Amino acid sequence: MSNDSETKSAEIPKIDADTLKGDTPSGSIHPITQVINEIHSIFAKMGFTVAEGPQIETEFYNFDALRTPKDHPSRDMQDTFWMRDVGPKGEKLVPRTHTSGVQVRYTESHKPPFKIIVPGKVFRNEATDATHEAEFFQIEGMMVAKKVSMADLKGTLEFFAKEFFGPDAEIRFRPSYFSFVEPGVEIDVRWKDRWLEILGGGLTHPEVLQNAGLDPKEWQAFAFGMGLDRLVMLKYGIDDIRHLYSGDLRLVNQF
Amino acid sequence: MLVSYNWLQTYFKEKLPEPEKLADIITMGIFEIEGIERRTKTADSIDGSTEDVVLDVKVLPDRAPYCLSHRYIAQEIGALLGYEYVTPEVDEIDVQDTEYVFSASIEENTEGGVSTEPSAASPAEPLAERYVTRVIENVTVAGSPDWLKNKLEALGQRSINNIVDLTNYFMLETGQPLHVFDADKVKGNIIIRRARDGETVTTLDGKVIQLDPSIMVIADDEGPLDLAGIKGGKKAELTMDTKRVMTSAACFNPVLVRKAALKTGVRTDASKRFENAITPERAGLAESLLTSYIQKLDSAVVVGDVIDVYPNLVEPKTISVRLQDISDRLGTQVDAKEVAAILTRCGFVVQETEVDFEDSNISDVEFLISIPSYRRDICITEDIVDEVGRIYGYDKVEGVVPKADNERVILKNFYYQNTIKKALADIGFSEVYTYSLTDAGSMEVQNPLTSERSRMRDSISYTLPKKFLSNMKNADLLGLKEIRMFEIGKVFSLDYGTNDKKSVGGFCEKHTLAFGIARPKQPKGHDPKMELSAIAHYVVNAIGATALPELRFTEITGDAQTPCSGYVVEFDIDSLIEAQMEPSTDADMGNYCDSAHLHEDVDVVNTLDTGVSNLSANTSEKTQVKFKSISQYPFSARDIAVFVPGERHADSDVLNVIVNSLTDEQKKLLVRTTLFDVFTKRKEGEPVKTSYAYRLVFQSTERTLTEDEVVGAMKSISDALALQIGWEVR
Repeated sequence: MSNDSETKSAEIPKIDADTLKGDTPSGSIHPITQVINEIHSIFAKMGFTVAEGPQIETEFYNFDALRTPKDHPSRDMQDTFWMRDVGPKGEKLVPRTHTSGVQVRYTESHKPPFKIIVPGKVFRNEATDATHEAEFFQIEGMMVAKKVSMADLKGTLEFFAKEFFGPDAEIRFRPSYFSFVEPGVEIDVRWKDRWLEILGGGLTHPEVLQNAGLDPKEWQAFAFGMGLDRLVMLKYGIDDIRHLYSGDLRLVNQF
Repeated sequence: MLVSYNWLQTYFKEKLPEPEKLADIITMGIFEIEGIERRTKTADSIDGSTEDVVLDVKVLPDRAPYCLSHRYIAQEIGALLGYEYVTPEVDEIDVQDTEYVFSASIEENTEGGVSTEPSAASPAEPLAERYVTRVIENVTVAGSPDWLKNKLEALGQRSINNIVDLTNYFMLETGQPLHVFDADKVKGNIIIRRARDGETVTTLDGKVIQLDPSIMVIADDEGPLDLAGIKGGKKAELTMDTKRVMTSAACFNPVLVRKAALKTGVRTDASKRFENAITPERAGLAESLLTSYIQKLDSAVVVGDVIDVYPNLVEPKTISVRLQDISDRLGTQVDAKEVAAILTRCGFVVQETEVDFEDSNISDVEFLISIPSYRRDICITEDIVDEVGRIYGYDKVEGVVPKADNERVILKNFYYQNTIKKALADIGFSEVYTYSLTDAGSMEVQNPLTSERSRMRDSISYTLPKKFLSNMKNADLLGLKEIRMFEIGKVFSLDYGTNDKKSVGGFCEKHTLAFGIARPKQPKGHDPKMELSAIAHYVVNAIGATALPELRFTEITGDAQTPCSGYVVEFDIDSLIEAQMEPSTDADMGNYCDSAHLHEDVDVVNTLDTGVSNLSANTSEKTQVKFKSISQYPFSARDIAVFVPGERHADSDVLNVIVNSLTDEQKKLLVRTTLFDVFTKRKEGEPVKTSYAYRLVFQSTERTLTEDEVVGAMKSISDALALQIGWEVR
C-alpha cells in the first residue's frame, strides 16, 4: 500500500489511460496551439520565455501606457470594443486589442534583462469574413537589455523566419508606425516567392519603458508582434479564419 | 491619401521613376502604397496632361501632421531619391484697401460647458493656435481653368467653381484645410469660440447640427457660420452671385476637432487633417497661396490686408543627437557625412560638431538638428534614428541573433496547460477554440458587432455542448463513433480573478478546462458523469495534482436527426496549476504538442490520397500538413461488407480493391473509409473466412452528389469485390 498519510491521493487512485481511451483514436491538438508551441520552441533557442496577461485590459495598459492617448488619431488604428463594466478604480475596460499591454505589465513586475514572448487572444471590433475575425491570436515579443538595436530585432526575426518557414525565408524591414516603438517597422517575410506582411515591430519607445518603471537611459528594448492566425492559415493552407474558432473537428482532426 | 503622379512631378526638375517603381521606393522608404490607378484622359481635357496615375498613399498618424499633402510627400520622395525639390513660389500679393472692414479673434479656452469631458488637451490649450483671414472684393465666381479642374478630377474630386476649387487644391497641396465665406453674408466680426447650447448650424450639404459647448464654431455677431475644422455652413455659403469673399485658414485644437467630428458624425478631409495637429505655420502659407492664386486668375479682384491672429509664434525647435547613439540604435556604424546628408534631404538644418564626450574615450560627432515646425513628430533621438534608418536602408543592417544566455524559465500556465492538452489528446480528445464573445455572461460589451457576440463568456460550457451536436452530425465523415472534445480558455466575470494589479488573471477572468464525450447512444448501465469524473482525475493526475476541483456538468443533447447524449464537465485550473512545482528548466517544450510531433498513430485512411487529410505516419517535414478545405456540401455514407477466405489479414487488400474499382473522378469523392467491423468465422477452431465491413463516405467539394452517383460508385465497388476469387460480398 502506498503512503496513507496523503489522504487526498488515496481518494484519487492513479488511472490507467487505456481504460479511459476505449477504441477512440488519438485526439488532435488545435493548429493554433501547435503553432504557438512551435514558435515557443524557436524563440526558446534564443532565450525567450513565455509571459501572459489579462484579456480584459484597462485603458491604461492597452492604450495610454503605449502612447496611444485618448482623442488621438492613433486610436483609430485599432477598432476597439469597450466593456460596460469598469475596473475597481473606475478604469475603463477593453477586451485587449493587442498583446502589447503585457510588455508594460511584465516590465513592471520583472527585473531586466529579459526576453519574452506573449501568445494570446485579442479582440477587434471588426466585421468578420474569411480573413477577418473579431477575436484572434497574436504573439508579442520583447527583449530588454542594456543595449538593444534594430540589428538585434532583425537577427531575432530572421532566425524565427528561417526556422518557421524554412532556410530560404528572408525578411525585410519597411518603415511604419506603432505608437509604442520608434523607429517602427513592418517586417515582411519572403516565402514561396512572395512577401508576406505578417509582423510589426521596432525599438521600444523610451516613454513606454518609463511608463513601465524603467529608466530609458539605462535600459533599451525592442518589441514585435504578429498575427498568429495568419501564420496558421499560411502554414497549413487554411482558407477561412472562422474555421479556427468554429469548434469543428473537420478542421481540428486534420492536425 | 490619393496622390497624383503628375502633380508630384511638378516639384522636380528631374524625371520621377515610373509609377510602379516610384511606388516601390515609397513603400520601402516611408509609406505603404495601397493602390496604383491609371486615370485616362477626360473628354473635355485641353492641355493633354490629364492622363495620370493616382497613388493611394497610406499616411500613418506619426506623419499625418505634414504628409497629408502633395508638397510633403514630394519632399519625402526627394529625400529618398536624392532629387532636388522645388516648392511653388508665392507671388507677391498686391494689397489694397477694401470697403469691407472686420476683425477676428479666438475666444479663450475656458474648458467651459457642461458637455465637455476632461480630455487629453489641458484646458490651457487654445481653441485655435492661429486664425488667418482677409477680404477679397470684386471677385467673379465662375468655372475653374482646365489645369485646376484636371488636377482635382484626377484625384476624384468634383470641380465646383474657381474659388472653391482653389481652396481644395491648396489643401491637397499643403495639407492645410481652407475655406471661403461670402463676406456679404457675414454680419460683423469673426470669432472662433465654443458653441452655445441650443445653437445650430446647417452644413453645406443641408444637415442641421445641434451644437453644444464641446463643439467649436467660427461665428459672426449673429451666430455660427460653420463647424470649426469640420465643415462649412449654409449661412455664408459661396454662390455664383458672390462678389466679396472672406478667406479662412485656421490651426484648430486637434482634440476638440476630433471630439466634435465624432460627436456630430461629420468627418471630412479637413477634420482628419486638423485631428492630426497641423503646424500653425502652414495656415499663413496656405492662405497666402490661396489669395495669390485668386489674384493671379483674376487681376480685377481687390485684395484686402491679412488679419492674422497668432498669439504664440511657433519657433522651430532644435535637438542634439550623437552619431554614436544613432549607430548603436541601428546596430550598424553609420558615417557622419551620410547622416548629415540624409537629414538635410529630409528638410532639417544640420550642424555637425566634433566633440569629446566625458563619458567615453572616443570622440564623437554631435548633430545640432533644427526641426521645421511642421515636423511635430520629431522630439527625441529615436525619431532621428527612424529618419536615418529608413533612408540609409535597413537592408544594410546585419542581423544579430540573441544568445540564450539567461536562465531558462518556463511559465507554469503554459507548461501545465500543454501537459493537460497532451494528456487529453492521448485518450482521444481533440482540442477546439470557441468564441469568447457570446450572448451569455455578466460582462457586456458597449459596442458589440452583433447581439450573438455581445458578452464575454462566463463559462466554456455555454457554447461547447452545441459543438458536440454539430460534430456528431459529421461523425461518419470524421470516422468517429463518438465525439471527444476539450477547450482550455479564459472565462470572465467581475467575481473571477483578483484585484492584484500584477495578477495576470486581472480582476475578472480565470482559465477553465472543459471537456466532454457525446455518443449516439450510451452503453447500457453506463454513467457518463462517472466516466468524465474519472477522466478529470486522470487530467489532474497528469499535472501532478491530487485534489479534484469542483466539477460543473452540462448536458449535451441531440436533435431529431442526430440523437446523441453526454455531458461536458468544466473546472477551474489556475489554482491547480499554481500549486504545482516550477517546471523543470530542461523540460523539452519543443516536443510538446507541436506540429512535428503529433499523429504517430494514423488511421489507415490517412495513408490514402482519398483521405480527408494527407497526414502521413512519419510527419518529419514540418510543413507537410496541408489543410483540405471543408466542403459545404452534404456527404453520403454507405456500408459494404465482404467475406475474404481465411484469418484476418487482408485489411489493405480489401481497401485497395475498393479504391481501385473507382474512376479517378470517383476516387476524389471517396473522402473517408472506416473499417468499422471485422470478425472471423471459424469451423472447429479453424478460420474459414473473415468479414470486413467498411463505412464509405462520399462528398464533393463542388456540388451535392446525386443518389445515382453514389449508387454507381457503390456498384463498381461491389462488382470489383465480387470478382475477387473466393470473396463474397455480404
